[in-house]
Amino acid sequence: MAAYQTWADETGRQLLEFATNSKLYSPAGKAITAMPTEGWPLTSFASAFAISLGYFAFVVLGRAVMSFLPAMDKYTYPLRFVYNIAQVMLCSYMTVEAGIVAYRNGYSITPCNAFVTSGSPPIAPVLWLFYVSKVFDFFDTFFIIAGKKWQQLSFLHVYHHLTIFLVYWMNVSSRPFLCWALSLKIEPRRWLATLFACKTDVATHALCAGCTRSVDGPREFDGHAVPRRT
Amino acid sequence: MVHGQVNVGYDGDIYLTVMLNGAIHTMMYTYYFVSMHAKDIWWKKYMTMMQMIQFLCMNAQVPAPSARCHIALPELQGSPRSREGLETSDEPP
Repeated sequence: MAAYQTWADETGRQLLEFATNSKLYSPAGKAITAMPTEGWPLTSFASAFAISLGYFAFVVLGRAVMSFLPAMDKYTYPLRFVYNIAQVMLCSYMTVEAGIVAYRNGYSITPCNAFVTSGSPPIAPVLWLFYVSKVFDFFDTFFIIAGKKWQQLSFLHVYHHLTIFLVYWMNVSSRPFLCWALSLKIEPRRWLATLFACKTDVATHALCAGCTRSVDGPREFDGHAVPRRT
Repeated sequence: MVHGQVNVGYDGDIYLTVMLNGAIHTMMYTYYFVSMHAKDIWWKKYMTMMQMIQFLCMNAQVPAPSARCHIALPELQGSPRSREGLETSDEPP
């Protein structure tokens, strides 16, 4: 356990230094300047990596176990009922809150809005909530597996949920990515990482719109199979 | 002072992604909820379209021209590496 913590802390530091292309830590592993969200719940790489691993293990094990069990849509109905409503509330709150933060701080729609020069970054709390909400989103996969909707359990579905979560771990732990593309034309590795982050979105939201749960929706209605949308 | 904070300060830009993605997710989960109780949802196709628009908007922000960026660039590039030098002892006396 202690060995895992040490490994995760070191790996996390390296990833953040790579992502921001900056020297953030002293050789002893101490932050050179205060990291705004350090110590916030679930922001350590040890947590993020463990959650990712747990999610992946759940997908593999869940897929295996559910091949022997009947679909559980009937039993997850109350849970889905509450979950979808909770998500609507949470997502609309984050939308409004991010807008309010932007308005209060005079942010423009074009990039490179003020770096924080003192105190806590104003966008940090809602960004942290957004990051944690990506863990909540994992329940999408749970319902797909519990309902045995194997067509929806695509590689892209799992890849999207995992990478979005890890990309937002980076965003919440350091500076959000956005200025990368502009800030260093000199550094090809940054371009690669930016492309990687974009690809995650392209893959799921554009190219594979038909694979995700969002487009397919439940396969059953009132116990009757619904014809597949082509 | 600004130099020291560039590395760890947040770009406020991410607010747009949170807003757009939050809005789309609100729609998506509304759809899931409705689809638990209804068969044909006429606005299903518009949702896919909205997702694409969200995605395009998010990515349009990155290359959007901004005078602020050009001012900030040398600082962004210069500060991290020059501060790295402070960690070592080969500073000129």
